[in-house]
Amino acid sequence: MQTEEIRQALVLVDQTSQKVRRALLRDSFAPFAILWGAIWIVGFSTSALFPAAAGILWIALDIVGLVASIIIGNQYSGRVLSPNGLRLFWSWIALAGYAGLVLFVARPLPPLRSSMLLVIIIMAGYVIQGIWLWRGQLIVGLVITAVTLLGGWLLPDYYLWLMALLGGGTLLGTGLYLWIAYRP
Amino acid sequence: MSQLNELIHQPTRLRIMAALSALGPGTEVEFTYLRDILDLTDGNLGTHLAKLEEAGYVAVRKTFVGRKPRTFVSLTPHGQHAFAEHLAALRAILNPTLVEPNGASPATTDTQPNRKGDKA
Repeated sequence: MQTEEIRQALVLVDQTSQKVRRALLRDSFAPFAILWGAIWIVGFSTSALFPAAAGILWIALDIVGLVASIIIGNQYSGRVLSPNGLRLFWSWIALAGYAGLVLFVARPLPPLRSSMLLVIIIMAGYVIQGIWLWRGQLIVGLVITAVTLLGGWLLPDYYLWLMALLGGGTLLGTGLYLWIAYRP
Repeated sequence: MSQLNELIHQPTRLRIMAALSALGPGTEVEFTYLRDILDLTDGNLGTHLAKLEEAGYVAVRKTFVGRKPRTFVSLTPHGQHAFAEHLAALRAILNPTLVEPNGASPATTDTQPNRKGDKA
């Protein structure tokens, strides 16, 4: 067997493996990032414009987001059945439950602090998952955490707009990038 | 000693094995998802999967979701082992100084086809 043929076979294996990993990353991450990025942009910017309606608005948006996430997750898990997929799903459910507990224990909190705390806990999930699975998710988690802390402490008057544009924008942008650039 | 596996070495089957291996152990992928990623036709993928299944390298599970038939494919432990051995053999030919972790000598370059189901 020729050396060149062997080299080509190994290149073929590497290219295929990379293509599969990119497809999995795209299909398992991008739809959720696009969905929640859009929800953050709508939620935070509308909260800035109509503060009185923020509470009911976020409840409605979170319900829409959860239902849409379950539908997207079901579609994906119907095509790729991985033992880790179910573990990841329950990890996020657990994190959401604990976020609720932390907010409950820490109450009463001003709305700004509640929002910061919730975002930071969710981004902790991004950072931890990013350490295990994909460095890009780690970076997204760290960037949004930094935006949350700096915006909440240094620019509280602009916090909602910062979270809409930089927080939601980072999620939406990352999701769209993966969706387009990692197309098989 | 690692030996080249002629069944796996065929380019399309090599890509199928690489794709299933990249999914990770215990992961099943739907037939159409694998077809789209590898850019193959139904018939082409089905033919090669049948050969790999016959050798015991992949498992094919047919099921129904509602009334819709669905086919899931996964790499068997035997297939994972055969694929790893084949890759080790390819790498060892390129770099003969490579010695396998178990201390075995590098791969042979025997190009005789393996029998179906042979351990690579």
